[in-house]
Amino acid sequence: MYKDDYVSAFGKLAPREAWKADTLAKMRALEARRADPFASDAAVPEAPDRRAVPFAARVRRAALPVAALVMLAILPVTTLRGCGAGGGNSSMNAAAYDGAAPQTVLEADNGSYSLADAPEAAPHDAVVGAYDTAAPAGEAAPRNAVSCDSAPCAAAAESFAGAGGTREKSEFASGEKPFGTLAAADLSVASVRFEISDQAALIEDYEELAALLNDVAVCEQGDPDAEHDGEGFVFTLTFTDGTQTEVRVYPAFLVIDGAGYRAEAEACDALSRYALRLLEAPPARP
Amino acid sequence: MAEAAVCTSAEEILERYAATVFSAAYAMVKNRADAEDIAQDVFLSYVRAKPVFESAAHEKAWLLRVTANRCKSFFRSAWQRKTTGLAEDFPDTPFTAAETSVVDAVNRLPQKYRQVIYLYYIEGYATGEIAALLGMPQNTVLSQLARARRLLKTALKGEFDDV
Repeated sequence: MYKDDYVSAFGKLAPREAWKADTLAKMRALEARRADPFASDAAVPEAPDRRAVPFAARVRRAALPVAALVMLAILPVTTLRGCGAGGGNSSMNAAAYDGAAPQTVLEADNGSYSLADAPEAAPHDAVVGAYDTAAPAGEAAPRNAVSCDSAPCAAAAESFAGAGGTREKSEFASGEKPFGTLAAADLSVASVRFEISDQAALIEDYEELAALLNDVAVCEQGDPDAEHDGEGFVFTLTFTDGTQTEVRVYPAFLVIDGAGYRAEAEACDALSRYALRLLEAPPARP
Repeated sequence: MAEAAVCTSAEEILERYAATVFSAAYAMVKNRADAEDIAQDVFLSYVRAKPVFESAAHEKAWLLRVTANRCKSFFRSAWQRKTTGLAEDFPDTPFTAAETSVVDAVNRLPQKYRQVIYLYYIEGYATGEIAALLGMPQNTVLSQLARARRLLKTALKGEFDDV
């Protein structure tokens, strides 16, 4: 019988030893990173995410840390002057700013905001706390929000509170809207692609994307690998403070940064239709 | 015979299921390089998901289900490599002429038939178990199995299985 030949042929199939060693190394690296999310090991295989972001987006992403470093040199001085002009209500004195600035510079020297790895460092910042090691502009904003009455300070603080509140969480309860407070202004780069394939599009209309994401409500958690069927759309969202979130959209199912959730079918369908529209007619790239 | 315990470490699960996951992927994608990519992705998914299993059978079924899902996604992508054949994929493995011809014949079947044939004959699952694993009605599995056997009978000029 032919089935015996079929069974014996498959009995001889085995993966290469080099493949096993490589897979084991990647599994260990992933385990280590999940056990210690603050570790600086960037060798864990997240290649599909990197490949998904087009070159233009990477350039734009790199521009943020550079701008942040420039602002670092300017903002403490200008903010101090602004607070002083506002009536001198600030309890922050010049010495406090002097203390803040070198700390942030030190972080930049450590590589947190270097051109090469700023996006990879960003999620660590989000876990540590929105203000502890966030972008240098955010370093000054919360401190000023307590004691400074000037409008720019208050606006900056509000913006960071809205964005940080969304991204600090890694798990969401049933009925919760993970992006309920997301505003278009919180996004610096957004892209969408088909799962696995490299067909991708940059998103330029953040208003529509934010509105669609605002409506997404999750239900209970689900297995991100087994509870959905078919190919999904992958939204990669880079926020103004450099942190990044990946949202995979399937029929009635979402995977947010690797965590799966059953979700309202209608909102998922709306996001899928939006992704399909962009991918079929990608907007002109800058 | 006592049932094997659930794996507790990356080494253990890789050692126990590497060949199973790899050959399941190979049966579906018919290409060694793609099968290795998919199998690696499955094991990384295991680390990410950290599922809790009731038994070793549950564990194996989860891995095979994730493999099947990954293969489905693979077939929707534009990054499929060219199918080369058993002898080219495994040049160091001595296959008999009968083995090569029967695997080639199975590889010419549509993907949905190949996965059912693989799960039924290689993994030894019953049709009800295959239905649960793939999330399809048992009658669909039975009809796919019957059609696959009929196609193989024509291709091989003989019965694949005399059940």
